[in-house]
Amino acid sequence: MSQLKIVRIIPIAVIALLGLSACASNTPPADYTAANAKADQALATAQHALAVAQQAEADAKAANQQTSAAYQRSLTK
Amino acid sequence: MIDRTSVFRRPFAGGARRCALAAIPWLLSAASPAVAAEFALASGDTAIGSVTVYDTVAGDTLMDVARSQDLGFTQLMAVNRGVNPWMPGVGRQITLPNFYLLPNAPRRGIVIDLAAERLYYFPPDKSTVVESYPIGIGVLGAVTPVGTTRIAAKVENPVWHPPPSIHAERPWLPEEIPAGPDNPLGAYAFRLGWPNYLIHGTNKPDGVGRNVSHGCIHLYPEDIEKLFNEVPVGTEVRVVGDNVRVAWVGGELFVEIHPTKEQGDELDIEGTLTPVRPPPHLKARVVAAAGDQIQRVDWSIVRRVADERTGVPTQVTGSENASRWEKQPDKASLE
Repeated sequence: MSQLKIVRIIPIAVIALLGLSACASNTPPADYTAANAKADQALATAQHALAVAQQAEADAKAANQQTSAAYQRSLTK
Repeated sequence: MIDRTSVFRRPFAGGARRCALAAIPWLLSAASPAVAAEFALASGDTAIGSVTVYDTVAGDTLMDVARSQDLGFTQLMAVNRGVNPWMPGVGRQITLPNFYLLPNAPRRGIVIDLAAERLYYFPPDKSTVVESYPIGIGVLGAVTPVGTTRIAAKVENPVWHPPPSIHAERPWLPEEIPAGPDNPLGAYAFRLGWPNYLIHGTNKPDGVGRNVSHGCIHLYPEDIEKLFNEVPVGTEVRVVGDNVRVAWVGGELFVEIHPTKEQGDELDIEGTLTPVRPPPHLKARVVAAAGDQIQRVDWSIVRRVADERTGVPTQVTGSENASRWEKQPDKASLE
């Protein structure tokens, strides 16, 4: 589960860093377009990673239930 | 994790010495010592034990925690919903519901509480003690009979002869399974006055506290060994199956409601519990137990206890005029 959290946190951190660098730099306003594009791309990557993580979580939950059900059957006398 | 403050309300001081003291460990980690099977009991006591907390360590499963604390698995899942039983994590606080209202039965011999999945033994030579152990019981459709019988015989290293009903399901089983690691009866068995029903140990301890047998009662190996050495042949065995307890503890009314068998299976496999209708006559039972203190009953708590069915005694009275029954829009639901 902690790995899933990391998967979620890393892209958010990337976005935050990109945003900070865009704000802190001396980039002329006209070049913000490029920074915005990078931020959008990072956001899309993060959203994709989140979807993958959510699917993995759902798969893990289903697998866990299957394991529990099989284990319960194995305990039957 | 269930919000403890909303679910469990600890007994107050005054008349419930052990339960009042029992509130103290609520804030402490249960750490490693296993829970004792013996509970002090005075003649007027209606409850034993306490709710405590255990902090998981690396490698723990909830099955390990259940066994080390002498609890049943379903019992543990009922109050730790949402916890992954295989990987609860490290440092996770696990609620240990070792707090019980005693079943409504004479305090002698063995009392088997099918709803709570626990066995009580009242030693004849120790009137101030009751022993309590988690048990595994029958699967859905393989019901242990309710009623009274006696210990007919004690058998060490029993040989198992699978009955026809089990042979029909698993024809590959041999006619008899000798004592040893493959024997599901474990190392000790009590034969009862009811043919085909035993109280015995197990070679699969993780099945204790679940619905996994064909009607027999089984205990952890260490528990059946202790019981085997204490209980004489001829001891009365009373089996009760009521899902509901209502009793006064330390001047407060407590209600304890256990999951149905179907809900128990759901807890074991999915870790969830789908609410069902409240037990029949719940309102009438609370009213009867409350007596002239009925105005102190908080019906919203009774309703929540019926929905959540944690199996843990929950205080339903307050110190003020708490009765809100007439204000409940669906009051018929508890009839």
